[in-house]
Amino acid sequence: MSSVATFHIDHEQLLDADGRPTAALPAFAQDASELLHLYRLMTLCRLFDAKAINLQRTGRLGTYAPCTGHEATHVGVGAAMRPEDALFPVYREYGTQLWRGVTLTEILTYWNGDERGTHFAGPRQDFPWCVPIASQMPQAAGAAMAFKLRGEARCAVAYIGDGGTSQGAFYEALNMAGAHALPVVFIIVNNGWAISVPVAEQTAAQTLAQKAIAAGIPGVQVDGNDVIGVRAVVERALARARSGGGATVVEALTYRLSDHTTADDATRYRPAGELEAAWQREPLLRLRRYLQAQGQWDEAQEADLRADCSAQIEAAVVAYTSLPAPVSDDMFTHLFAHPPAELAQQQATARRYAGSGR
Amino acid sequence: MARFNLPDLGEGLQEAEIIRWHVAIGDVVAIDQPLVAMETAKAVVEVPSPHAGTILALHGQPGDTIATGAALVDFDTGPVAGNAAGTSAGGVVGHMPTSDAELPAAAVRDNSSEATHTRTRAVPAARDLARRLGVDLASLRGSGRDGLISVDDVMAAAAVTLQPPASAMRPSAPYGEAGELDVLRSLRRAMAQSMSLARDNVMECTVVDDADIHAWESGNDYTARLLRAIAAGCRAEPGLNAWYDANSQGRRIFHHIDVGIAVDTPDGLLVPVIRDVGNRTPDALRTEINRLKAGARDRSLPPADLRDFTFMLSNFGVMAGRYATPVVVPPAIAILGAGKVSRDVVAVGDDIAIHRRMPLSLTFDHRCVTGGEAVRLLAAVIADLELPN
Repeated sequence: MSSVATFHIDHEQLLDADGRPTAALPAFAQDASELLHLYRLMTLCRLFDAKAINLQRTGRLGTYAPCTGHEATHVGVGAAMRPEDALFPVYREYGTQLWRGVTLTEILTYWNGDERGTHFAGPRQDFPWCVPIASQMPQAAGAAMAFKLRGEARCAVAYIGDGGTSQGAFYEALNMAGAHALPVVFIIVNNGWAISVPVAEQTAAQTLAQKAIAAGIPGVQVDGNDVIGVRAVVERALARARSGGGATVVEALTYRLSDHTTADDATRYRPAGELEAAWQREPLLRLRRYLQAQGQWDEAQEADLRADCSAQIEAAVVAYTSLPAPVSDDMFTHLFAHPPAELAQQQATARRYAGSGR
Repeated sequence: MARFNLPDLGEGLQEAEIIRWHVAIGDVVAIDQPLVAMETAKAVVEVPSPHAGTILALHGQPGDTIATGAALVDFDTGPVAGNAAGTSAGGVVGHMPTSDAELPAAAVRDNSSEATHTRTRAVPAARDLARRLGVDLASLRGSGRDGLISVDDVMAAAAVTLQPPASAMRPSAPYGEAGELDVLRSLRRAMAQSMSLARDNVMECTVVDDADIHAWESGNDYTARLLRAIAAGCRAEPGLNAWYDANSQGRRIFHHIDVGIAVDTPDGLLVPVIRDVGNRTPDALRTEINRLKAGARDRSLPPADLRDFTFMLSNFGVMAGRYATPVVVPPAIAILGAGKVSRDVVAVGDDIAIHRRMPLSLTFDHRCVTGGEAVRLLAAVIADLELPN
């Protein structure tokens, strides 16, 4: 018998857990201001997460999906994208969204069950949060198909979790992206847990990146706690997609340092010691260590940054809590360009009762 | 004053139990400072402070169950208290609205506000029910938004009207010194719930017999021998080492035998689980039994040690009692009870002898286990127990 196909999967890491470079850093990382920009947004994400959880615990926010632990992946991907690209998030990639202009107020509004939060004032072409698992993947492939047909040098970037890679829609999207050489990058955020299912029970594959191979597209793994590595890998994948080279799957290895959502309690299923070990590899610490070693960061700057982030968050919470209640017309105006007569009648009825509490 | 009502701490949770307060009356607190640990049906949750100010009142003691929307903490958020808190704040946000109107309407049950409605407001189904039950809507204060009367409100009012006077529920004069009503909490409450579940669902059938342990060599460990015997029984009849899912009418048979052992604690019944009893040595079983019993008594066992048993053992005979009808807790389908060992007069051939015997009671869920399966398991248990070692 002869071998007709083999595969290999590369793993990229540029900054190790102690903040030491493991290879020559790319050009953007030579510029301290670029790295500080990444670090500031990662810190904002971390502090915002804590505030959002506190808002939920005091009845001022609905169920919330925290992002703590994922900051390097999320911010690294955001930094690698161009404004004209389109993002197809899952539901916790705030670092990418904030980089692209989604606001903290919009995030809070959405998680309080108010769809006005998905009406982004900034990145109009970005898709909203996607709670159904994997349905964003074919949508991203479709958007990439549109970019290709129009001859636009734009890319779609879709997120999915480790659990989502078991869904049929995941494979369908990869197949379409491979068959048509579409300008799309799929980011698998492998944080070890699909709610309570560990990745070892999710798949028998050694890596999730290799799921790309069957679709005929390259898959690469990156240390998802290394923001420099994530940005470098995703920039390469996007450059390739933009120049007609087709799709890439990037598996970012990270860890969910929080519960799945505020309605979850991970202590009920997470093995003892795993969380503590993961905190030793967390993304903010290693970038801070690197910046300190480079003489670019100190305690005073850290304190200033936290105060500045807190002020931003405070302003966002005030804006969110003072948002006026939606009007009844909102139920109707986003459905039809020309509402049918029955709907118009219902709209009039709703207006008559709006505000009466009945 | 600002009142903080208990919000829904998960998704659609009706209540939570106070585990411990982190603050006391008179404390000055900052926004987001931890106030109290609350246990819900899903998790133990730290609840932070929504206000900066001085604690005026804490509504409840550890162990109390608080309904979602009921008062939890009152604050003085006056300027002096607020400033004092501000200087010590590690909090992120300095000013937050202090009114409970900021709570989602569904989580608020405001019983203090005066009704200002000129007309009684009730949902149509509540009006209809009130008419049929003869309840005067005007006499009710609705629990809904702006005093809206719900079906539940009408039912509650009707129950007050129709039930015998409350005094009839109390002991009459000679027994007047009977204690206060002690609301079940924690483990005892969980026991009440799982026993009700068992009563409502399981078709229980109990079969009893004795194991003659006259041949036992000295040094045999009762619990370890019982666990080994259960393993032997389950190997003979794997169908009882299983869960029954009534919804799908399916039985899930396990390859590993994880035995839940009923442990009597002052707080109520606890059932720690010994994993894979079929593949452990007697010494290993004893070590694990000791660890679980100690952990059960001081309540230090993690949830992972208290769930997913595939078979149960109640070794009640160490205290008293020969036979019983032990209760199967779903989704498990069988429980073995071991009674008090005693010296019995037995027939040995044509002679009379005195042997030590262990009474056994096996309860099984007859919905999915046949009597034949149950007694074959019991026979295998007895055969193993009767071995000298």
